[in-house]
Order: sequence, then C-alpha cells, then structure tokens
Amino acid sequence: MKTLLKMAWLNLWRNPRRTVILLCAMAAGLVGILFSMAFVNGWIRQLVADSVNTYEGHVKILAKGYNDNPVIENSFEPSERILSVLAGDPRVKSWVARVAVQGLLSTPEHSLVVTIIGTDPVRELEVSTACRMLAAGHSLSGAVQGEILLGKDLSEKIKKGLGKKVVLMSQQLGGEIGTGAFRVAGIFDVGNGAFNEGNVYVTLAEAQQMLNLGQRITEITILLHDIEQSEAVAGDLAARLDDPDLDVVTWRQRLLYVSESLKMMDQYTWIYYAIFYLAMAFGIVNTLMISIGERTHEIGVLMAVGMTRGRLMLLILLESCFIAVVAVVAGLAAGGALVGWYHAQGIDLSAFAEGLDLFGMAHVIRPVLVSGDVMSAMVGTFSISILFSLLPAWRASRLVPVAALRQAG
Amino acid sequence: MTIVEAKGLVKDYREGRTDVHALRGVDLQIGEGEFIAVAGPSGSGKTTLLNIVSGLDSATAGEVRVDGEEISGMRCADLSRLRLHKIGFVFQSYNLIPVLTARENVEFTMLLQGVPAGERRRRAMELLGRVGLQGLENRRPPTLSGGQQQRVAVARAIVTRPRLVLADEPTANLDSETGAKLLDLMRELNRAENMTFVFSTHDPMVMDYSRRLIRLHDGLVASDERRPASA
Repeated sequence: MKTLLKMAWLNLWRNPRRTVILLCAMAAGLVGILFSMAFVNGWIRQLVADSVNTYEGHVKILAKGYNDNPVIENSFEPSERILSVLAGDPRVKSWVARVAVQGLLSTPEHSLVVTIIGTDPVRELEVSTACRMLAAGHSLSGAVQGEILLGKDLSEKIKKGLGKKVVLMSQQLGGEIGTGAFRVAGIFDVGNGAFNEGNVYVTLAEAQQMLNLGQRITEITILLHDIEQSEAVAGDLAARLDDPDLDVVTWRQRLLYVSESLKMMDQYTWIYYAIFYLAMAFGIVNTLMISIGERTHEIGVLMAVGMTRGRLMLLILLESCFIAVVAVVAGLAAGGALVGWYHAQGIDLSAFAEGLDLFGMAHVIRPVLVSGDVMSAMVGTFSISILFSLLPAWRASRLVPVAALRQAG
Repeated sequence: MTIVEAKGLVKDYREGRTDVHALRGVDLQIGEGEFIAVAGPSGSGKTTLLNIVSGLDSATAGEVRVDGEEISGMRCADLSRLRLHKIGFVFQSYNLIPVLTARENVEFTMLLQGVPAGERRRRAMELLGRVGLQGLENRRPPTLSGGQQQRVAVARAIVTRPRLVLADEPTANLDSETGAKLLDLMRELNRAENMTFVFSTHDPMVMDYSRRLIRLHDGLVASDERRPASA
C-alpha cells in the first residue's frame, strides 16, 4: 500500500503545472463555499442577536393567541406563580413585563402607525438594549410622568426632537380609544432603521393607564444566560405554569422571518454549491483523463506485470484522494484565514443600508465558520473527488493491455 | 517438463481497411529451462506470439497452455494472476515505472504478490547487486543509462522467480557491449535458476546466445533449430 500511495502521490506531480492549476481551482472554490457559508452564518447570527438583544429576548410568556393576533384583548394579569417560577430558575438572567400594542403616533403634521411598548424602565435596561442605545437624551426614569423614547429614524421623519410633544392613540381594553400626550425624553438608535421607525417606549404604568388595562400586560420577555437553552427553558416553563391561557414561545417561533431567511439561503447556497461541485467534478475528470491518456503505455506495463483491474482503479482513486486532501487543506487554510480576517474587520455594508433595513439586517456582517459547515464542505469535496474519479479509474482499468502497450511510451 | 504448449495458433486482426494474418497456425512446445530466441522479420508474428503466450492478447483460434493451464478464454483477473505469478516480462524500451526508484521497481511485482515489505526489500537489494547495480538502488529510471534500466527490468522480471521470462527485443536499444553483458546475465540466471527464457529478436547476437532458434515467417514457424549448450 505504501508503494501504491507513493506512486499515486508522485503521479500527481508528473505535470506539476496542471496539478497546481487544478488544486488552485478546487481550493479557490472551497474558499468560496466556506466564505459564503460563513457570511450567511454571520448574517443569521447577527440577525438573531440583534433581534434578541434589541427587543425579543430568548423566551416570552404571552396570553393565549397573542403571538398570532397581538391585540389588547390578548393580554393577561401576571400571577405571583409566574414571577416565583421565573425567580427560581437559575437559567433566567432577567425578565421584564411589557405591554406592546399597535397604535397611532400623531403630531400636528404627521400620523404614523407604531408599536407602543409600555415597559418597566429599570428591568427593560437589564433585558434589552434599545433603551440603552441612546443617540440623545435619557432613558425612561419612571419618576417623571409623560416621557417617551422615539427611535432615531422616527424622530427624523416627524421632525420631533428632545422635549417635543407627541400624542399616542390606541384601542383600549373594552373598545374605547385611549390617548396620551408624551414629551420626547430620549432618542434611541439600535442600528436598525425599521425598528427605529416602528417602535416607541413609554412606562408600563402609563401604557396600562392609557389602554385601561389595570394590571394586565401582553408579554413577559425573558433573557437567559445561554441562548441554546431557549427551547429547554420554554418547555420547562410551560410545564410548570401549566396554564391553558398562556403560551410560552422561544425566539425561533417569534422570529419566523429568520427561519424563512435560513430556508431561502439554504436553497440559494445549495445551488451555488452544486455549481462549484460540478465545476470541481469536471476539473477532476478532465485532469485524470488527460493524465491517464498520457500514461496509457505505462498502464499497459502495469497490467502486463500482473496488476489487477481493482488495484489499478485503487491507484487512480488514491491520486484523486490526494488531490482532494491537498485541495481541502489549502482551501481550509485560505478560507479560514479569509473568514478570520473579515470576522475581525467586519464587512461594512452600510452603502446598502436602506435595503438592509428592510430585512432587519445589520450594516456590518462578521462571517462565522461553524464546524458543521466545515465538515460538510470537506465531505462534499472528498465525495465529489472520489465519485467523479470512478469514471476515469474504471476506463483505465478497462484498457486492453496489448493495445495500451502499443501506445507510445 | 513443458512450460508452454501452443496448438494451431491463429491471430487475425484488422488494421485500418486491411486484414492482417499475424499468426496462421503455429504449433510450439517450450520446455522448462530452455533459452529460446524467436526470430523473424518485422510482421512475422514474433511479438504477437509472445503477447498471446503471456495472455496479453487472445488468439483468434488455437490453444495455449502455460505451465499446464489453458489460458484461452481465461478471465482477465486470472490472466493477471498468471502473469503475476508465472511470467516475467522484459520489454524493448525497459518500461520501468518512472516515479519509483530502481529498488521499488524491482519490488513492485512482489508488492502485487503480497510479499512482506522486509522480504521484498531484501530480495530486491540482493538481485540488484547480482545485476551489478549496487549503489544505484535509490535512483529513478530517468537518471539511469539504458543498460542500467534494462538490468533493472531484468531484475523486476525474475525477482519473483517466474516459470517463464518473455523478453521482447531486450537488446534493441542497447549497444552491443551492454547487450552482451545483459545476455550473459540472463544466461547465467537461466543456468542457475533453470528459468525459461523466450526472446523475440532481430539481433544476431541474441540468436547466437540462444540454445534454440525458432524462425517465424509470415505467421508460421519456418524453422526450429536446437543448438549445442556451448553456443
């Protein structure tokens, strides 16, 4: 086997330029695959992290039906039991009770639909970043009545800065219209134009009063120490609360557009991978066929001295394995370095900020490689190399020895 | 004991639009330990005969037995096994594997036979010494002279101690002095190991060395002449 391995390795380097060109093409393709995987991973991670940290949290306790129909009627009164269960779970880092409903923000010049978020000013700072990421002013204090936080984009759109007055309107519990006048205390900027423009924060107590909710809320948003525990915590909470009027959902169920984006990207990237693998397959078949064509006489000699068809196929497959090993090592090294560099630097897409905001994408993406993707790229490259070298190997093994020996040596 | 027995060997093939009758009914018996030259002009059927005897090519009609085994109609894998274990080849253009060293070339057939690495190495080194290539064991074929390459090829052919060594014009690319040394070597092996050698050749020197000279003409045995052992 050692001699066969040596023969296979040295056969590759009979025409170094051809082998190097093939290896470069395969490695470059692998770099492309790894980088695109890393880019998508980085984008998705960023998307999830932004959404979770800005507002969503990891787990939410909602009134039954609120997730599909977020109206004021789908609200609930947080019981002592809920609060004690949350307090007793060490996986829970923090939580905040909120009211979140659609409403109208009015100024003398504008009327815009926004999500009115009533929250506990202190707990909100522990759970999410929106009220901390202030471009101007200060966060809600709770001590001063009638304060509101606007997003930067909304503030610019309605041309209302710090200290200016806006009016909120929304349907109360019971069907009446509730209104409230607020003065802009702070302007947040979470780096996501859609969120900045579509959400306003007021204190929970004032939202409950305006909406005639009493002590009712629409959600408890929970931040965990580890995002990977989201499903486990949600399952445990649902079991322990055992309340048919409540839903416990994770960020995955809330951020459906992330799942859809993932599915879409999967389909898109597999088309890309298929093209790459096909190009790789052609390269391998072409190189091996030319190489075998050049060695026809020698193959005849090998058969003449007693080499079986099986061993001859093994020799060609070993050559293909070596090509795959070198291409994978080079591709992983170059791809890893490229991803590492861009992860550190970040890919600045702010030139496309307007379009990115539509998809809730961050303006700076940091590519991330995960072991599963690296494995699948490696396995893909190896599989394609072996699979598509079977044809040249089979053709070599079917050569008629005497005809092969007649070819010029 | 008979090593090769051919009866009524016929080989026809087409070359372009021409029908070629390479062998027209050759009968032949080769005994163990013979040292035979098969001579004849180009196109007389020498190489075709060797190819059929070795199972590299098949006859259109007739029978061939090698060491008692009928090889006409043998499966490809069985023919490979037969060549590996019973036949050694020496080619006109050496046909060594260029990426392997002299020693590895000699070891190659033993590798295919499954001989353990230590034993392979020992036998290859011993034989390379015997053919006068001490110190050149780790050289690759392109760095060796024609005569040296052909000696490696001879070592490769006989290292597994085959019953039959077929040599297709082994001296054609060598000068007469180198050719004579190579023939001396093969004669010595023939005597010492009782190995059977069959050469196809145009070379009068090879014919002089042989103890049996078979002349082919137009695909038929024109003469079969045995010579005294001292020739």
